[in-house]
Amino acid sequence: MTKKSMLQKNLIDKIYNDYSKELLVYIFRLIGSKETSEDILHDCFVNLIKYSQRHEIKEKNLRAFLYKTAHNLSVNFIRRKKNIEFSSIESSGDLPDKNKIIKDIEFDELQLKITELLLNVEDVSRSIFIMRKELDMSIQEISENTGKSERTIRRRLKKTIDYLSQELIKSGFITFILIFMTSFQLLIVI
Amino acid sequence: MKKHPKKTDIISAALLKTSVKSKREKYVLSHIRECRQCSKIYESVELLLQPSDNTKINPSSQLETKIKRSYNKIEHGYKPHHSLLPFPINRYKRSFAYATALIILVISAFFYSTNRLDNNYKPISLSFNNINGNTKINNSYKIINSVNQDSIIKVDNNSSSEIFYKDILRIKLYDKTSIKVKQALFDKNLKRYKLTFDLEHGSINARFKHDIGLEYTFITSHAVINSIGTEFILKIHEKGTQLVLREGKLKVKSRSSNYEITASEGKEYFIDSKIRTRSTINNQNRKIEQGEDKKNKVKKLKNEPKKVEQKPSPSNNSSNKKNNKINKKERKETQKEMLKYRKSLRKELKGDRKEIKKIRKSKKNY
Repeated sequence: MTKKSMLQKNLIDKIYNDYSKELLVYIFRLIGSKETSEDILHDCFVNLIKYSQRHEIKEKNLRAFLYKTAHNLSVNFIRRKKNIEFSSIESSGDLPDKNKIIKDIEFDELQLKITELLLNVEDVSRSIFIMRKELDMSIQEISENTGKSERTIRRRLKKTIDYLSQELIKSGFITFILIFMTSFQLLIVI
Repeated sequence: MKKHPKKTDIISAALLKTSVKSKREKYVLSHIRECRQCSKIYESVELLLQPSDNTKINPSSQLETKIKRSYNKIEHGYKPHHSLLPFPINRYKRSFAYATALIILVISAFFYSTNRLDNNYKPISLSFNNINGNTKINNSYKIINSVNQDSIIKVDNNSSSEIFYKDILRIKLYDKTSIKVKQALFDKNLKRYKLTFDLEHGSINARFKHDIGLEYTFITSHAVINSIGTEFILKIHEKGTQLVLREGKLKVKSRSSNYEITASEGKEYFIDSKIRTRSTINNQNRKIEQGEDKKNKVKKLKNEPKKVEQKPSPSNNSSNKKNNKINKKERKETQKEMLKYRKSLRKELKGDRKEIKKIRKSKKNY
């Protein structure tokens, strides 16, 4: 394939505007560092441009291509780095409500526990779970982006959830949530 | 109230609420609607696994410019702006590295081999003595005491000269001889002399010392002679090279046929396309005669001494007398051989007759 088939600049801009946000979230939730996530996203786009020089890419496959590349690059990065520390996103300048602060802290704690537990899950299953949880993708969308069948996605997702729920019950997070929920409801009533 | 489902089932139902299909999952969902305790767990899990706050995760403005820059680079093929070289060195880094390594290897090997050769072999100069008459060395009649590698020595009519080196070798050059010192080296490692002479025409008498580590070669237009400590006479004729080995051993090789033999002491050889000794010449004649009729053989044998006389005669008048003496001796020797041969033939004939008689008898009996 000649250079003629290379993606146009306008199209790259469009792709960037459409997918950069969700891809960045996906990569960030996988590797836990914003700077590195941006680097990986940049590499994703470079790969896309280079690939388009040699092969033709259909528009419907673009999203899947980007997700697959992001997944592979993130997994490679995790394998190289081994010890990953998840950093929380900097909060905005506004001062939140006191109760909201407590809720946010506990919620963040839970999120960190989930991400910690997710590191023990297989790469593909982790990707699927993040797509479902963070990007709220339907099973059909996930299967398109990962190239796996819907049945496999459902099976893997359930397996991951089972594992997570079991681990969360073991570490007492479920009971804590119940107490938290009741207190939250009481506050609402008052 | 129905039995409570497992906690894990409730969590699964919460996550897969949009894609619940199995009966069990449907039962769990219906139970959650009815049971307050289970619905609390369900809601808590739902809340727990709610998407995180991703509003703050946004790509920076730098990322976009970075991607655009990369796009331009890829589009223009990574051309370096301030490169002095006409081609992109970054692209061919590996091939450059291999090429330079190969060049360095070849150069070092070349230098190593040449230095090693230079160190091993040392050229030697041979002493030269003009006995009588005039001798041209490298096309000049200057009086010179030594000859080196690539020197050409031409001995004039009625002149003779000598090449020698310590007490190791002594080569006498007779008149009308032209010889070139092709190689005169000393191998330091093996402690061995290596000499090569190119004899164009004329005759020489060479004497070399035994067991001194000497490797020498005489090249004529017909033969290549290698030796290990010997004394011999070489003479070039139009049809071949004549060799008389007086002492030691010689390797003789015919240049046209590449046939090689080891010459033994006291024998005379004639080298052209074949290598023939005095005895082999006689034997060849015998073989030819054996193929002919037995009556004719006797007649031919009588004429054979005349054939021996037809051997190549030397052109010089001074050496004619010596050769005549040698020929007389040879004739006597061949006459003796002839007599022996006749006797053996008669014996063979008798044997044959007896055999014929036996066969006839056996036929009759049969």
